[in-house]
Amino acid sequence: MKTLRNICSIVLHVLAGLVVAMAETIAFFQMPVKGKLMVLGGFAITAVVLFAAAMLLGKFRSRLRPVGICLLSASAYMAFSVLAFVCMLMTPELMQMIATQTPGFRMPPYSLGDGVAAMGVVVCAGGWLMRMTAQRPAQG
Amino acid sequence: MKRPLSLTILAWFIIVTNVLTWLYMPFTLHNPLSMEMMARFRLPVWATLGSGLVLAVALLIAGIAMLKARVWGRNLYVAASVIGHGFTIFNMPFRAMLIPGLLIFILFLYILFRPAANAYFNQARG
Repeated sequence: MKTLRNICSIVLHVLAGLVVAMAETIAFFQMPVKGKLMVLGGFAITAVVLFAAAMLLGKFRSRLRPVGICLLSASAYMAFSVLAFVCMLMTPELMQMIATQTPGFRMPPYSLGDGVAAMGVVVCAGGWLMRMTAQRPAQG
Repeated sequence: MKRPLSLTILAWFIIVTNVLTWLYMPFTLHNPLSMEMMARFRLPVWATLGSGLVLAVALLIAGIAMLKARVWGRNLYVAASVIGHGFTIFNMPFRAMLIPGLLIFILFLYILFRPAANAYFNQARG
């Protein structure tokens, strides 16, 4: 039973991490501030609900540490994606090739500042959780 | 000594991604964008694809060997990756696209040569 609960908890953690990564992706797109905040809020609530369910289900030594790991992993994944995107932008030949091969291809307007800010918030939250649980490993 | 978790994850990651390289190959052959990209490489398409497949086999063997605590698995991984990156630098005209791969390789080197990983490989050797 404990194993099954832990498996379900891990799946929920992964889903929550994906939601966080999706929210960070959306933060990089340029759109009206109010609309973006509402969308990000929706994603944040979904992630919190999933994390809460995962924490309740899981029988881990520390309940908060996996959440911190998920937040940091999602941000690391996003940072790597941004780096790959920037590298792609630095290769105009490649961009031209993609535009030729993909009918209707259009580079979406993006906002680097918003995305980096959102990623910074998630990294801080994840880092804080990791530090907190490192001091109290037997919590939960 | 128990295998470090980071090493287990890395070895499995190497195994899975290189199996996927083989499985994905037929799709690459039918992807016009991939084919056009490879047509701009220095070497012919067959040479690029062939070397990629050979490299994937070497990395797959390295991943399995690392799970079995064989130090030559780690050495094979490093050698195959260095050769692969060198080959790509020579072959691929889009140099900026090499940066993400090189960063990942540096991260993997850190995991492979951490004190815990060294102890795991050395213990198995001794």
